[in-house]
Amino acid sequence: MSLIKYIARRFIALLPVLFGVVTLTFFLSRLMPGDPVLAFLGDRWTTEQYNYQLHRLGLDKPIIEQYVIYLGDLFTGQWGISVSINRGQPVWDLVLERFTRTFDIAILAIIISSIVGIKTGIISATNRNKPKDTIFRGMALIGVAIPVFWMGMILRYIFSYLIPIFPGLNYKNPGIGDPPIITHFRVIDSILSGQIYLIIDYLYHLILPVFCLSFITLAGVVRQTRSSMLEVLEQDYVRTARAKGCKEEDVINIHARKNAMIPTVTVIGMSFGYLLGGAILTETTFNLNGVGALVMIAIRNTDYWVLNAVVFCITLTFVMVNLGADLIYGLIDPRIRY
Amino acid sequence: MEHESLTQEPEKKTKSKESDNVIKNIFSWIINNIKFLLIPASRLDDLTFREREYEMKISKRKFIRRLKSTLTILGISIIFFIVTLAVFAPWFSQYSFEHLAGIHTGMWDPPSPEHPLGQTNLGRDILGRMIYGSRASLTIALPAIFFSLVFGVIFGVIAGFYGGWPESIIMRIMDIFLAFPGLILAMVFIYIWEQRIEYIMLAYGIIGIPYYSRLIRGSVIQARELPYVQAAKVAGASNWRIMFKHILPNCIQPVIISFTFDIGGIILSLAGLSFLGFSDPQLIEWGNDIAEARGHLYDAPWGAMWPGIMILITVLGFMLFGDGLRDALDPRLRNL
Amino acid sequence: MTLTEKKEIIEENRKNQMKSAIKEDSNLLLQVKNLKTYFYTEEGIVKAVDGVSFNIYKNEVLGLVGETGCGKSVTALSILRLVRSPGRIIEGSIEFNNINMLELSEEEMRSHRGNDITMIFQDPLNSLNPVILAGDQVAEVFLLHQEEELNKILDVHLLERDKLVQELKELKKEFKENKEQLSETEKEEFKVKIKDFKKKIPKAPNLKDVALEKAEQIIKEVGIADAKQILKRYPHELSGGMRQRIMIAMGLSCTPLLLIADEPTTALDVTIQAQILDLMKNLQKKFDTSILMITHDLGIIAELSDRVAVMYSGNIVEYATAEDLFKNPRHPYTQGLIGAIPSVEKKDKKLTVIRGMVPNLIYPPSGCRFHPRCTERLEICDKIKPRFLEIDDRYFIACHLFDPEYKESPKYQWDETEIKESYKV
Repeated sequence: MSLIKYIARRFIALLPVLFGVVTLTFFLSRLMPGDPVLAFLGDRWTTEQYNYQLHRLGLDKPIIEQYVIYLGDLFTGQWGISVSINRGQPVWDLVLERFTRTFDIAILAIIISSIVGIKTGIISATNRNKPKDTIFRGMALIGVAIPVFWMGMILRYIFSYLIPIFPGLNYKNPGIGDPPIITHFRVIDSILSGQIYLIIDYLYHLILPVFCLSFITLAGVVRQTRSSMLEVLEQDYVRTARAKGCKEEDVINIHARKNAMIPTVTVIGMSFGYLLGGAILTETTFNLNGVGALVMIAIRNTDYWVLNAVVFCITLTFVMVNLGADLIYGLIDPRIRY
Repeated sequence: MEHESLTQEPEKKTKSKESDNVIKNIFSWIINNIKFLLIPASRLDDLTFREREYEMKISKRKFIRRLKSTLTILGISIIFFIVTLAVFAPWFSQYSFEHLAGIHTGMWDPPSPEHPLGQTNLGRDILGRMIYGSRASLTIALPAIFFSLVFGVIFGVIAGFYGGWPESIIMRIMDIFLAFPGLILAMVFIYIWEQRIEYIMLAYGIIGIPYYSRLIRGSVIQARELPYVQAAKVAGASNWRIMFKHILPNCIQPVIISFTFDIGGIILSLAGLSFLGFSDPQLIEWGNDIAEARGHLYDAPWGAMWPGIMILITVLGFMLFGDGLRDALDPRLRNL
Repeated sequence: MTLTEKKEIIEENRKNQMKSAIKEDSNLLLQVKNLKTYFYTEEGIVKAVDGVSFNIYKNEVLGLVGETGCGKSVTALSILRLVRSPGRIIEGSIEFNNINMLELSEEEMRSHRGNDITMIFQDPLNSLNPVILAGDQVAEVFLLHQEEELNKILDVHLLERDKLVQELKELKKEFKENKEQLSETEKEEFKVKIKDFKKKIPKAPNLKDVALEKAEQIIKEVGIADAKQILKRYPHELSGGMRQRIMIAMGLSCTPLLLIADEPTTALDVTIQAQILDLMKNLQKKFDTSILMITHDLGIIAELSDRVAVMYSGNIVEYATAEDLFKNPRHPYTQGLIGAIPSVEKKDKKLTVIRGMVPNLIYPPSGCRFHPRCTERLEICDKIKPRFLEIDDRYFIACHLFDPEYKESPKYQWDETEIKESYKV
């Protein structure tokens, strides 16, 4: 019960931030040069048509009124239509279709980089200043210093052109169908409709992008795990564990690891923001047709509705992941009370 | 002496002298504060003079010894290399800037004696563009990060020192910017203004502010309660004096640590932005080159490969150095 | 504590001493000989323990006294071979029950740690793992060292449970066989009976449950009444005295032969200190454990110890029975230490002050390490390191004043300025 209360309280505390982001996007998008009506109408139009569309999109009202209407629509789920993509496709559908894909690769990447990063960080800490440590840290740093989009291109060149074992572009085979849309998450929809081969195909296409993307947060996780592990290994309770006669591996796995994880969890949550940025780049490299392409089209065509919706979704995800990190933090550390 | 000269000289000269003095002051301030970077002042407070001197000596020695790790030296050498490349680009490249930005024959030609790394879409020499590209990266990244550093520190110190409503307002705004996806924010900023180098700098400068202000606010809040700050208050120092003379030097360490690391990060996201087509297309920039080569990955892999390697090396250099610095200065690891 | 009780304790201590004196050699438990533990730091080699020798006999409490930073804790950690890099044991032997600990493999060493040599640390909050339940931390010791015994207990438990299960089966069988003859109400009754029986059968215990059971027993032993609840608490939910009791429970759980207590009461309130010391005294008798009591508090030593070793700057300077040492301290350092204890009787007198500071362990003073602070200093003192001699029956001392070889050495004349200078710091 107290846990639910805590989640509710934290979520309410996050509302001002979400509200601020929504407001900021709204006004920033109105500052962009260009005319969404023109983007919608294309090359040929009459003044009558223009005025009609202007009215239909609600752009003839004063900006404050537009803002209030926008806020109302945001919470009732009426996210408007896209003026740039498919000529009037509802934004809600568009975002659901594209954002779920971005979400998939981002979540897969953060899970992989957390697992690998924590393992590597612990090995690095226990072999402090030995060659293993130097190599691992160097590798993690190289991983973070590589531009994701470039790494994606090189991987594509090697693994889908020179040695064609992985698909280089797109998220599915051209010949393969789509599962019936239920939740918009391809994996879940495939399971619900019982088409397991779709999942395999999907995940197979995601291997290279996720591999690329997980490098973005890897170095941060390794470095944080290493330094907190080093700190924990000097603590008195680790000495107590040794004095009890624990095996060295038990000392690390039972007594030290959990304590060292506490600060790492926060770092993982915070670095999810970078990951979402990296996801946009990775998608572009692999033509995954996710939220990245959407954002670029939206900005170039001053498509306010799509841009606002995408930013809202990304921010919401970021905020929720951090909330999740907070909860995990509380689960690991009994000293934290909800 | 100085007083006399001030009265005798005409007005114009005194002005230039004043600005000279300002620069001098800033430099001496920085140099004086390096010792604070090496040892947190809180530790110096309860030491006698002799112990303090000893402690300083030891810390400096430890600091230098820690910096001497293989990875850090590698990082420093890479930075040195890239900076040299940027400054002396005309000496290293056999082609001039105008030539490299012009249109020539030889679309996606493979490496040849005249063009050791091949040619781009418009027949430009890839090696030359790699060398000149270092200029763009450094000239955008450094001013941008200084911009965020200065404003971030000012906001952070004010928020941390005053607390109350100034803090809530500043930090809520910073929270909003932090939660906003940075890459999209940069794209929107650049699209609102113009795809020109100054605006790219400004966009990145603004995006970086919240990171630094949050970082510094945390340590200011801790420092605010320390005895020497209270002592300065009792002595009647003004708030601004306390903030920037007493508190700031003791709080700047984490910012300095993260600063070097972040230069690499900015270069990286800059390249990403160019890759997405949101930068000055006229600029000789590695990200632009990669974007251009993207469609010809399979038939002209050299077009994308070399600029990417340059980005990797440059970013790696700054990150290795930043990492080494962090290790050398991290108070938690200091005594291990 | 009343005066009569105190007298009793002193009496008992004396008896213990007599006992240990009689069967000294056959009772030898731990023999540390010329132990040297150095730390190879960036600044130089810290000679934290530099040639320490002492013995601990069975059922004996040895007090190790000295100022902070004189190498007491490092000595203790050396015995358990827990000195961490950059520290290393470079010389000497540690014989425990006639086994040289320094020659054991890490695996063999581990079977001793927490089993027959255990250690209690100074700060009970940091010495307990904050994210593991107190009960689990105590139970871990049993799981590590008493697996066989636990298995035996587990077998008994399982057998009992099997019996119950068998009975349940029979009951069910009976029910099935008689199903047709029974009326509805009788059937219901029978069903309820089976249900009740089912409830009686405990969950199949595993090794950890048995270990927790034993942990509960030992926690009761250290004077915690509601042991069952304490098992399910995290260390931060316990009071300081409680935590130290848990540490002691952990230390005593395998009935060790030697318990090393590294300033066990320093971090506690005075009233709790007394409780903990009392507890340790009782348990020492109950478990027949020897204790190496490390402290800078001479009061604790006087109350608990049979013998005392006084350490100064990595060396043992005086090693004798508690009685002899407190009655008639001979080493100038010990004299200074005892003279520095404030008490009501000495209210009007000035306290003895050992002037100067604890020496740097990287560049220790030449010869006797105490010579820069010593009032009785001889000319020879800064030139030759004093030998560790047995000057009396079981009375060891490292001081040139008591070495017959240097009887002729003249007394060192301290300069006025030198003395002033040394008082300054």
